[in-house]
Amino acid sequence: MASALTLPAPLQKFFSQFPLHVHPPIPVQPKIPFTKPTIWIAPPRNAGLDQSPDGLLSSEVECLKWQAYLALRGLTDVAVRWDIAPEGSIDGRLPNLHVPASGDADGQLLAAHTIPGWVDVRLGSGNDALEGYKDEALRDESHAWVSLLEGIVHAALTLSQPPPPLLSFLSLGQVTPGRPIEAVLSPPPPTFTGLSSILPPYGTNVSLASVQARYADAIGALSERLGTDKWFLGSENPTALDALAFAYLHCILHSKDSTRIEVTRRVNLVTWERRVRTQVQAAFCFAS
Amino acid sequence: MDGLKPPLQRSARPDEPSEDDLEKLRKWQEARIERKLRGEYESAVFHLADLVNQNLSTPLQIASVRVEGASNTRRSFLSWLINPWLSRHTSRDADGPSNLQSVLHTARGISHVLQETDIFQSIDAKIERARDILAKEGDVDIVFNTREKGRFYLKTATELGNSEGSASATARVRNVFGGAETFEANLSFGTKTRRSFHALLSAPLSPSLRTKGEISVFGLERDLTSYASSSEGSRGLKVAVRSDWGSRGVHELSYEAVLRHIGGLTPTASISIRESAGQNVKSSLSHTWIRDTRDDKIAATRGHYTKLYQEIAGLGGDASFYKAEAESQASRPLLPGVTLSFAARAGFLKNFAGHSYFSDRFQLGGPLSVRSFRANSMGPRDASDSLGGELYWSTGLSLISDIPRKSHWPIKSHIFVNAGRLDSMNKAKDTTENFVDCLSRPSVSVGLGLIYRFDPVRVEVNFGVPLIASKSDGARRGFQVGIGLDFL
Repeated sequence: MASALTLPAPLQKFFSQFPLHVHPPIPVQPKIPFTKPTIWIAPPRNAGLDQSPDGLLSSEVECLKWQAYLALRGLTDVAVRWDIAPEGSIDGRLPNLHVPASGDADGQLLAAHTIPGWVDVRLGSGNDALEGYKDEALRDESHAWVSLLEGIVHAALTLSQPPPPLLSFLSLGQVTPGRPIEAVLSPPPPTFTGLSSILPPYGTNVSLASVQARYADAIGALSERLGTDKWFLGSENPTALDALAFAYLHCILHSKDSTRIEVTRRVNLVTWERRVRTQVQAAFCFAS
Repeated sequence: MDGLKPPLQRSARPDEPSEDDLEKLRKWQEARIERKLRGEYESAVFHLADLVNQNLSTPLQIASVRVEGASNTRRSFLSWLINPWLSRHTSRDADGPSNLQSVLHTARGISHVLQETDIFQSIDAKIERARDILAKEGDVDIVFNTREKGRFYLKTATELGNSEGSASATARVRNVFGGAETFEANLSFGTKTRRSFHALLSAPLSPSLRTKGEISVFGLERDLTSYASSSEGSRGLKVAVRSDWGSRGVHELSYEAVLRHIGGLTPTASISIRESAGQNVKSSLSHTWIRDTRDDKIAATRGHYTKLYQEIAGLGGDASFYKAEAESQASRPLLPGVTLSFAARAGFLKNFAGHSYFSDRFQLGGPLSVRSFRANSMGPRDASDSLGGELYWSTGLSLISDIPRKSHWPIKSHIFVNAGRLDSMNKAKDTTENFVDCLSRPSVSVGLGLIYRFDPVRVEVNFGVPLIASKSDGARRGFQVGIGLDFL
């Protein structure tokens, strides 16, 4: 009822007596018992087919990035579930982290961008101005590497994904999550038709050859920068850039076409990815 | 000669108007002529009826049946409708040779069937001497002079349904392929059902027109934010066969393939609703039986209504379950102007594949269901979201009476008692235990109110309180308004 209208006192007194008898609340059957922090991810490659540790890592870059972040920050015993559709997550984007909150049976659901804040509180680590890098110059350099990975490497990875199935136009939900390729490439790709054409501008003209060339350069630069260091940019402990790099390298190495060849050529990247993978897998378990 | 002298006296009777008022005299004369003609017509009809009745046993055979004026209707369809009547006419050996009575009976039967196809605006039947050269003495033709109805129909409307309003546009094509098929397409926008479209093609399957087949494509998007913090969209295809067995009810057997999608979650959606979000496919076979002997669908005073619904899903698609639902309502007059009405509903969903989907579960509560509870607020709830349940029952008993001294008003008053409960199946217990638990702790409400017959819906304004409720139910004490078609 609107607050402008209030019930007269005798009527309120009368209503407060009802209901005369109250049954306990009707129980809800929980699907999966909830005891530890659980990360909701897009399904892994071999979802449900094998119970190997490889089945814990998401096939989507965004989700894997956050998984790697949690693991590399030192968290362990985080459960993983992939039965929740993207429509069920905050803002329609996976991953989300579902953490048990004290005194609240439902727990709290965190969107991806609030995960670092929660991890800081959980580990008690204070605000680090350098974010784990050795000095300010390296921190600024890390931003450049991040934009390289999220730009050309992401574009190459997207182009190597198989196209959506034929009848997907019938589906009501989202078919391809994430940003479209036009937003990822820099400079943005031109349209099929140009100024001199009578047709209005439509479509995207992505030049595969130029993307491949820039991607090869990017991987080469990444490999050179890593060299024989334990973590990128010579940091002592893993940083956000390591999580991001791991996510992209893992997804590229498991893609089905020739984009993986660029990475397999660089031995140091392959061994680095393998070492980090065992560390990341150890932090997760199945939510059953 | 004393009696006769000019001018002669007026010989008109006292109730006839005098000559002075010419207008009145003319009107009186016209009325008199009309009475005379009507009298002659009535006596002619009476004579004809008499003639027919006295000659019912005259031997006559039907040589042919002609339908004239049906230019858009297929010949094969008309003969499909008429042939059973003709074969019934010619094969009545046990009753003796065919005569005028059987010819009239056949003509009436065929006329009735043609009327039921809803193709014709007017049908006139005539019995004529047979035109055929080879016709024998006593052969007649039955000739139907018909006029077809218009084929295209377009309507825009604003409607009030079960607690929601909508604006819609409907297009209908009658007799699409010449065989009484109907094609209908409908598009509507509403408050709760935000968008919906529906295209339907139906055709008769039996010559008696009691069985119809239907194929339809539909899509709708409903706003469930008031009780489930989400929106549900669905698109599907349905194929149904419906058969009307008169006093034994109407049966419908249908197959449905639907793509359902729960999305558009509000930021405050609970974890359980988030787990139900996403897309799934249901492919199911269902059977419905309805028997309605009520004297009025909105506020019946006598008769009963029974509906049984069963559905089995799992032939393909994600959903796999068996669902059964029963609904019945009976009314009985107690005193003049006072009626007692009892209604009961129950439903049960058994899942074969682990967990049930939100779109398949039952909801309970609201002005059309258990009154004095908020709409769809009963049953398992997570925070403010009703998740729906797999087992429910609800009953209502109402005493409806006219407003004293104003029994012709469409407003009636009523006192009601409603009870019900919605539960989810607890897998830890067995089925009988689940049923007993569900029956043993109902939510009960009482109240009184006014019912207004606002054809074709019923509007109720009730003042009620919940007497017994579960802690998770959304009780609504005080006034509640309900608009809809099926009330408990």
